[in-house]
Amino acid sequence: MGFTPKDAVLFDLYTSLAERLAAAARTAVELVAAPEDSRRELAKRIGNIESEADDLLGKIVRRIDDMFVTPYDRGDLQELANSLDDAMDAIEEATDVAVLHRVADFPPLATDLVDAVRKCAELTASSMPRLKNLKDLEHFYAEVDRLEDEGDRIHRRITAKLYDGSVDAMTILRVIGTIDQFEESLDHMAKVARVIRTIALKEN
Amino acid sequence: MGDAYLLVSLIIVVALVFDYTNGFHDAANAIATSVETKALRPKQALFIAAVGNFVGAFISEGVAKTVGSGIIDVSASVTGLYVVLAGVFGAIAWNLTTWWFGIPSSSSHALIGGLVGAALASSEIVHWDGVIQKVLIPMIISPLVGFSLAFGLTALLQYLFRNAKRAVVGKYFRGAQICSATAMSVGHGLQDAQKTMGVMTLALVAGGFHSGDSIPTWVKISAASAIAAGTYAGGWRIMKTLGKRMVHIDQLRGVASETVASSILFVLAINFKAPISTTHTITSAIIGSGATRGKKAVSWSVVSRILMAWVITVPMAGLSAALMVGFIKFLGLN
Repeated sequence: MGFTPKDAVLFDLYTSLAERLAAAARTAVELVAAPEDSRRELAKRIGNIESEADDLLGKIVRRIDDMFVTPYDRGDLQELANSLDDAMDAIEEATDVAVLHRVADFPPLATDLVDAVRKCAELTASSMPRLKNLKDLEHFYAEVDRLEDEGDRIHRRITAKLYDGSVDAMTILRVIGTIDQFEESLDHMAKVARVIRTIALKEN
Repeated sequence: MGDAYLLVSLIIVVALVFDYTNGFHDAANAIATSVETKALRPKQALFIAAVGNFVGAFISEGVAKTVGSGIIDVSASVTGLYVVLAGVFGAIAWNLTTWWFGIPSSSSHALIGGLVGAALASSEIVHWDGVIQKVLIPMIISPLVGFSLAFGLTALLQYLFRNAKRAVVGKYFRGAQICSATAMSVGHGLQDAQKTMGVMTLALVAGGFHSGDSIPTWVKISAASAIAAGTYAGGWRIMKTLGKRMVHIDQLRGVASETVASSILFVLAINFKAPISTTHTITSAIIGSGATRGKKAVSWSVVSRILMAWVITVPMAGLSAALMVGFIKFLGLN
């Protein structure tokens, strides 16, 4: 059903963008686990992925702007691309800050947090091809929701641990920038799922 | 004679108020989409809508004649005047009831139902063939045709312009939308101002101030002015709430649905002299246009509201008008 033409190129661009997000998240997992001296290299790799994502975002925005007949609401498509880019920016900032602030050791729970980010990003990437038909997305919505909740909980536990008096203020400040941005990227991915859900509600 | 003069004046004033509120309510039908897609600024759109209403009222007399003489015949007497009065008040009473309880309705259907109900209750002549051929059938067919044609035209335009660049075709569609919105305003005047003219003429005939089925020029001018003024006044209020609308419509769908709806309003008014609901026509066209996206894009609650209005409005407005006739008889006025 549906008589509105669906532009294949546009949907491929969204999938590519989501795949960059997943690649960045996987590299972020490596970075958190890596010893301090090898993080610079990994952060640089994420920086490169992020600039590829920026190019893709530019292509998507130009394509939406060019098209007279868009497959879905123009504003929703725009917001979807922006949310994917925001999630990417948050991961990039988290890892760049980790290097710049010369974080020595991450709290143990940081591994869980960045792993939630990875799972969420990979799920987003593997679900993105379904943006075209908007079918079988229920699991995606539910799982993203769950991962965002999980991320929130882990984030709270990390901060509680940091603020319990056993950690000195400088260390807290160094770590918190990264932790906050990982949590932020999950929020943006939840936004991605919400926008897709809005599109699905309006369409077939 | 004094009685007749008073009654005719009363009916005419009430009919013009009915007309004004019609414009007030329905201003958004014609111009909302073109303002939303920024083809027109609100002030321009309102001006076009009011002028379109006014001009449309003069295009043909078909609908006015159907309402004025094709549905019921009234005797040139005080009894005849009370029939028209009961018909109009019955329609207004039903409109107010539906508005109060939030039941879907249509002013046009209510007016026809009211006139028929009042005529039946006071054993005046009802032209059933006219009611069926010029009211009931067009009333049911127009939304179905509106839905189907708008669906087809939207699917076709989307196919034709699938690879089109917005920067190239956007400005043509903006122009097309100004045309289609103007056509909608003209169609609105053509349909709804003429319903009022019909009622006014009916009252003039019953009061013995007019004979035959022609429509006096001053009747045309006053009905056209009332709807145009209503549109201009109501439009401002609608502009303020426009930003809060839930459903957004794009340029292509705006053009497709307005083109289809205005064509239906024109063809039915001019060729078939049939009074149809302008709101139902544009609404069904917008739904048909949106349905090209898929089943979920169809607002089924709106569809059921239209269906309910079909089934309920005419008989209930008729009943309400018949009660008015009974009340008038009870008071011994006729």
